[in-house]
Amino acid sequence: MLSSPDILHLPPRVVSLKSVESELGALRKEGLPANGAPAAVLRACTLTLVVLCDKNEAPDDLEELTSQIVQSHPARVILIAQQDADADAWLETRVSTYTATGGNPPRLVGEEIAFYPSGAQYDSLPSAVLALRVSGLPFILYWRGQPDLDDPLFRALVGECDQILFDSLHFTARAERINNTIARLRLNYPDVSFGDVNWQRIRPWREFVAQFFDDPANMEYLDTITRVAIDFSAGLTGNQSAAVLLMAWLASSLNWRVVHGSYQRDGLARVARFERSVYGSDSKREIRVTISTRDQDDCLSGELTGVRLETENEPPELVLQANRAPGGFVHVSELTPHRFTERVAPLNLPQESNVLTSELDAPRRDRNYHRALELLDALVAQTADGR
Amino acid sequence: MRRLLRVSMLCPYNNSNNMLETRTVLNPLREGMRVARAPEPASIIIFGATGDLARRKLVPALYNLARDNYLPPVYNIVGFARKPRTDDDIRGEYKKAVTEFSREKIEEQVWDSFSQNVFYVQSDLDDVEGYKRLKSELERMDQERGSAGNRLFYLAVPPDLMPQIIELLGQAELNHSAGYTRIILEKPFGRDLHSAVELNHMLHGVFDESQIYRIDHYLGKEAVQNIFVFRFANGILEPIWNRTYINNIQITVAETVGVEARGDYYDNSGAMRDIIQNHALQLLAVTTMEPPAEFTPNDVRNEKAQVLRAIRPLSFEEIRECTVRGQYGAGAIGGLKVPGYRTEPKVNPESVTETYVAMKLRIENWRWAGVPFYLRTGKHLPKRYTEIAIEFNLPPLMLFGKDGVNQMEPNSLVFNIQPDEGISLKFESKIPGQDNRIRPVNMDFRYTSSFGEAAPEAYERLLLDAMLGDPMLFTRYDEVEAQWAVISPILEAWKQIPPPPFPNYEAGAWGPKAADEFIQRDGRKWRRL
Repeated sequence: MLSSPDILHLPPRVVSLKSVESELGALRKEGLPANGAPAAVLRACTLTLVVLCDKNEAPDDLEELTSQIVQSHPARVILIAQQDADADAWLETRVSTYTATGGNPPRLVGEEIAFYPSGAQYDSLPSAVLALRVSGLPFILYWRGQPDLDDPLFRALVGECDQILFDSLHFTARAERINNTIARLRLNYPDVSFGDVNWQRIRPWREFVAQFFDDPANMEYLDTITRVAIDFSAGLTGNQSAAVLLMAWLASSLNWRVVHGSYQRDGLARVARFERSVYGSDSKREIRVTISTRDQDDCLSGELTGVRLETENEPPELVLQANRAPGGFVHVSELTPHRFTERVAPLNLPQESNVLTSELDAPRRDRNYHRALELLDALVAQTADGR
Repeated sequence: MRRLLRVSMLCPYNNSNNMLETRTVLNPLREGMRVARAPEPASIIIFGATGDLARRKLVPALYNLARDNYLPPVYNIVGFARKPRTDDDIRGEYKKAVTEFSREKIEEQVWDSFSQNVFYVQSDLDDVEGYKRLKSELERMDQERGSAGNRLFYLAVPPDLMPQIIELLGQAELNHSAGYTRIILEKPFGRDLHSAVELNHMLHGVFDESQIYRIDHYLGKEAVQNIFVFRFANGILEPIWNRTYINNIQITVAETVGVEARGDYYDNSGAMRDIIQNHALQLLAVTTMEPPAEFTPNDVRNEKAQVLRAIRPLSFEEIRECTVRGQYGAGAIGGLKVPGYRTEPKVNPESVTETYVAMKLRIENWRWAGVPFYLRTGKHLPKRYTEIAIEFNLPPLMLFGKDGVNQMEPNSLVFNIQPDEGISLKFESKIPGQDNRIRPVNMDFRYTSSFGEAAPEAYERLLLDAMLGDPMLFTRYDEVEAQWAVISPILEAWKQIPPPPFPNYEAGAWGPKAADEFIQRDGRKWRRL
């Protein structure tokens, strides 16, 4: 019942669809009977978040995630877990509340409505969801699995959304096809913004790399990077989307162009070649990016475990290496013509709720993300093997 | 690809001379990150390295910056103080300090990495040879560790030591280097207008104004920075942010603590110099300044300085009428008995230093003419609380207050600065029922419940800004002088006006009765906190 030290989640109550609002109203009034504290009189709400659960995932599994989200983004959360599609039409509805107990008075920060539709009931669910949207606040859809853009519920809700979130770490399609999903969304729903939770997950890695080049003495070497190695933890699912996104971010930020036909897949590993013009000359410099697996116990399947950048020449003049270490830390080593340094830094975004809320807070249209996707487009288009 | 480019601009509208703003075109990989740019490798030199401020605030702030990966890959934290210490000694002391005072729990791995960048140079603060040793040590670090000649001096020392340190930094040629050289100064900046002007003059003899960062840690608080956003990112406020709609503004900085171990300093300073001259007037400036042309350090500080200059200095008679002094006697705070001010350690038993001030100011400009600004601060008040309360005028027609049943209260908008940062709006609402009874209700926004994430400590933000060369949240010399121009005449007049019989309020009470009477004369009352 208690999801985090400061959040109290009352046990869900089965209710009829038409009594959802009145039951929630009653829950608000009940406050906190368990510990005899005063009733939660303050209701905070900043958005309506609709979460489409992944296959084999129940709303109960998301209790901790929901409580963490509402702690930082008070919300009405509508969870949808599709049941047997071939069964008779049936809808079970449960409601509950999340209360932040730390303040005085306590604050009701989350209202949860969980739908368990069976059979054809799933198709008529959008009308129920839309009726429960909190007026005037952002309406956000979070699809936890591989998005099915032809899903009737998705098609009905997407046009009503302010933002669609998904997590390419959970995609089952090949990582390079992230762009395909996004391209269809962009084409069909140009007014809806969308975000990939995985993009936030790789943010600390992007920062490690960017930070290395903040030093003006290192910045000139951006032009001379020739080798990049990106490692990820294959785990059970072996999704490389985080690694592919990091590669695409680096290449698009530094104006690297895809070398036609260079992209190769070998099991979970990838090799890509890019080129860039040499400043003030007609010649081109080639950059080779390899993506490999390096498993680690305490991270999710698909999470990054290391990145290494080297400049030209043997041995290279400049090397940046960041390797994930157990316990949520990263060992960063930097070799430059002027110095060799090593340090340990925490990897600050280990939890999905943090990553998700970062995406909720992120600008509605992250130009860098879209530039990275465009580069992936080019990568797939110019490589027969990538199709 | 964009290439590294530095553009120096002389800001034509800047009213401080020689203010050179350097803008650096960004690292292309930084686009879209949490911070648009990160600090360059640097040495941070703490004067007063073994003192309270370094242990309680500065080192924990630096540790948290390192922990959150905001510090550059190469940094040297160099303690400079009189007490003999080795590098290992100071690392051990700082570890204890971080363990005790950091907002985040200390992580052994991060600490081990952080502590390798901590060093100590022992010297008397008045010994130029020590400064020369410091210089050669910094040059060695630049060579061996790659700190690129960038230096940030932090003067965490009592105010009387500052002039000498500044002088000796100049003599040892530590006021310039191959990279940037900046200096952070803690308040107080002088004791009155004359000494502040002298201090600024002396500082400008050694450092350019663009190198000087005068810290007022209130400006580093999220809730204060949010005032800029609240005022200038929301279209509904500015149209009513003026004398037509606002009746009065009350700024309260209430402390529960007494003078603690600072009796000698405080007895020479008092509440007016300690709080009103800096924190309270900065809060006033942020609340009342005009919108800047751009959200840049110069534009923001120009507007703050402008409104501070528009505060009308009080005449002798007005000082008698519009200021109240208090000093606490024995009482109780939080259920515990505390002694009176005059029996605190290192305080003169006959002291007439004020531990409480209430006052009224007016800003003479188009926007604020006629609006009174009530400021109050005090030690050993019942609650640690800082807020800015904007009270609006009542509606022009009292539809609901005629029957005597309903007591109409004015709308108020309150910025809670500490401890529970947020914003509250009070408005009247109908009580459900058949009749038309009304009651004031509050609409609250709280940082903790709306954003979840812990806000960084003010010192973290300010240290990072100083490393980045962003002076927006630091006080410029003309602001300091404008603040003293308001306060100095009051301090002068108080020398001639005998103080009330001290002590005149009990520790644990909301100040002397005279403070209530003073605001009641205007037909108003202090907000009940």
